[in-house]
Amino acid sequence: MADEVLRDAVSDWVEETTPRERVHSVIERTYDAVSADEIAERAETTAKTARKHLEELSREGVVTKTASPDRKATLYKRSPTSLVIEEAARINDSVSKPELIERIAELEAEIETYREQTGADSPDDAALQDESVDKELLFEWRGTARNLRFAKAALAISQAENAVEQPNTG
Amino acid sequence: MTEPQTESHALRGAPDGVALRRFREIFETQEPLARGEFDDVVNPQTLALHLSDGVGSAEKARIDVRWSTTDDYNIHYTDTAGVDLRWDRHPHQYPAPPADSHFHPPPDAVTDPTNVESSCIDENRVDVVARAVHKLWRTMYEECSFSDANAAENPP
Repeated sequence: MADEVLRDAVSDWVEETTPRERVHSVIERTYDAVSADEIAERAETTAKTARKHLEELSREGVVTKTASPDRKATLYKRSPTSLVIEEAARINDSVSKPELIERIAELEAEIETYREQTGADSPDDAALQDESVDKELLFEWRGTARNLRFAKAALAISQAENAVEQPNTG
Repeated sequence: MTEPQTESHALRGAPDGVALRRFREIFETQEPLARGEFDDVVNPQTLALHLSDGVGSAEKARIDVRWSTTDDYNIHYTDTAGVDLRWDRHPHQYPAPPADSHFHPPPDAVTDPTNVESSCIDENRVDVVARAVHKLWRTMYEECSFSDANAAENPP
């Protein structure tokens, strides 16, 4: 029955989506480059189909291609630029500019609190200097640090958009 | 930290907003009783799936999802009748199971190291896990029972 739940979940996914949608879903969160074979396996499709969609997504700017260390294979990962732009656009769609400025200040204050609590500059430093440090805190800290960068990108993009739209002011 | 290290539920990596949005989209599409909500729009760390009914006598329920950039997760069911259970995947120091995937059984999602079980969701793809969790929730809801919450422990 255990296998059944998972097997049904996989077959539902395959029935409800196209190969391209599954390749997209897998690659959009592939932060370390992997081969088309690995993407194909996770996306429940063939390597040939995965490669076709990865190449398309690469032309669209969603995917970054690199060569493997031995230069024998092409590796694929989510384009960091496309992820930052997507996250920034989502933030700008959901909060106003004044609200965003306020939230950035709040997140910066939160990170300062983590630094004071641990006496470390970053989550990695905190883990190195004290093995018994609260791992939950580190997880939240890494999230706040990551989301703060997305929020700052959102603000920069919205300011640049204003400059483009109103070239004679400001 | 007051909890001993063996009871930590901490995930590697950072909270992954893209994964949480995917989970919400799948669960809301499959489940008419569910409404997803993030703890924070700008700094999303937890997705709360509010269920307008619960298992058995519970009037309401909630599934809290945390998902990391490395595909670790905590998926925590809680309801108004006071039942808790959790499907998790992260490194742990429980004597069993050997896998990162494990299950904290109801009624209180026990963290007693000897009661942690293998999880029937030995999987880390969000598209698959979200569908599997929905199936398990539906089974519990329709059977008014938690006996199949972790199908791994109930072989046919």
